Amino acid sequence: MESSSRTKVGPHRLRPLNTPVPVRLRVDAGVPRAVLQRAGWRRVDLVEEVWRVDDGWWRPSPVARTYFRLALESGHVITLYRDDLEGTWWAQNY
Amino acid sequence: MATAKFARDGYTVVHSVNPRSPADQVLDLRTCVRYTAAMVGCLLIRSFTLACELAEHRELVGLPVAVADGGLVEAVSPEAEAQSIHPGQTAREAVGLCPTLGLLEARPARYQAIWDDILNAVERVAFTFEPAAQGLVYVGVDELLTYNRPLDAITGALLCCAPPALEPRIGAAPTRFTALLAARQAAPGATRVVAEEELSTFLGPQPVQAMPLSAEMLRRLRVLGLRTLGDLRALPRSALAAQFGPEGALAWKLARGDDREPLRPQRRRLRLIEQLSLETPLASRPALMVAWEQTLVRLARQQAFRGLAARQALLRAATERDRQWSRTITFKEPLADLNRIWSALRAVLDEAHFPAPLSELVVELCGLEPAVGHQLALPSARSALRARLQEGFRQLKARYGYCPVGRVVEVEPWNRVPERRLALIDFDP
Repeated sequence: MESSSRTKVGPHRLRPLNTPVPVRLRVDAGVPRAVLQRAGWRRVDLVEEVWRVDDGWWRPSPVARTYFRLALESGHVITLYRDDLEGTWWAQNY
Repeated sequence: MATAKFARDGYTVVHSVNPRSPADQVLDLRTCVRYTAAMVGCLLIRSFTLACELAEHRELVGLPVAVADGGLVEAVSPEAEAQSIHPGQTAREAVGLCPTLGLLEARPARYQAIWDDILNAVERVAFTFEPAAQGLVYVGVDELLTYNRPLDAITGALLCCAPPALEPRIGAAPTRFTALLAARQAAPGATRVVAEEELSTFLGPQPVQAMPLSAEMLRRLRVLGLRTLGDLRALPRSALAAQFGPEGALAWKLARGDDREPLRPQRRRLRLIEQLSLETPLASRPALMVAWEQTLVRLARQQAFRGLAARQALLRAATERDRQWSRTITFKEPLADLNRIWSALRAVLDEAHFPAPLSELVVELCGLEPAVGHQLALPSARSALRARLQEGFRQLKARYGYCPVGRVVEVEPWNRVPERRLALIDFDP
């Protein structure tokens, strides 16, 4: 019998795009108030929208997130989310 | 001087030595082939599908359990059989008869994979083996005995070919049918050996219903009051042949232990396998098609496939919960060209209904043989452009060790989790 490579190709062969990036921010009562960017801390002028995403609750690694679309004092609009299972914050385009 | 002859019980070498000097005598002793009587081994796993399921669901052992495929019961445990459940019933009827019945869905691809592993293990132990069905394989034991290996060691090695949870049994006897009967009587994980001299004693009290005959003939034997093999072999062969035809003659041979046909060894299958594991199970058909294609491309690029053509492809997939899906595609002619193989596979995959999102894909090419040439078309401007592009990719690959070019595919564009919508798959020309 011919030996086969049987290579475990693994997830690196199908790499997800738009993966979340960890972000540092100041939070008050569960709502982001300032975000640390390259130029320094940026105050949040307005929380434009808040929504929840719960998915894959039947899987070993479920998703439970609260997304925030924030308008910063610099005029930029960014989207962040809080991982409700681990309590961590991430930036991700939605 | 040695003479060879074919005997009824297998190939034997008979030596008639007339040494001229002590040195010749030593030489003859060294070249002497041991005389061994025919001995067939039978590796049996009862109710293979059920055994595979119970091996993975140990909590169901000892309970009424049935395996159903397409709404029909396929295999039942002894506890379920005691409650009047038998193969061929509808699953609905079986549950009606036994409300506590544990009903498991059949996974044919999974059973085949387990059986392939067992046969691969048997191939490492034995020279000649003949698979008869899933869970039943005959092995030429006598040829292993000639290598001075004790019978215990051989049967022990055969038992190790199957996982103990499947409760394999070994029967060893001079004939194939007797070996099967012996294996049926052996305890799980044990061996029952029937020697040549006890063949008649062993076969005599065995029930005729154990013989591999048609249901009609077994019914007629029952009606005629022939219960045991002893009853059957007491009759003249001509009487059985006159009553039942060739099947009667076969029954007479089986009852006397005269079925000495040699094993038909399995032809070695040359095959190539490639596997793709997915971190996130894929449901999107376009993404799955890209993943299948990528797996095939990697397979076709294996060094072992160079200069070969495949007659058959086997596609296997597993879901997150280990449900299996498989298809076998036989090509109209041996195919060596990747595009032609992919065209054949794509037609099947387009129509396929997968049981759930897939987490593992396997492509296997078998029936491999040397490729023959095909008349190529004249090059066109488009193909020239593609060739230049591919040459560029090849140079990138030569420089970096891998092709740094990726291809964006829509995985699940509707997904609410952003990182699951798009993915980058290696573009590896």
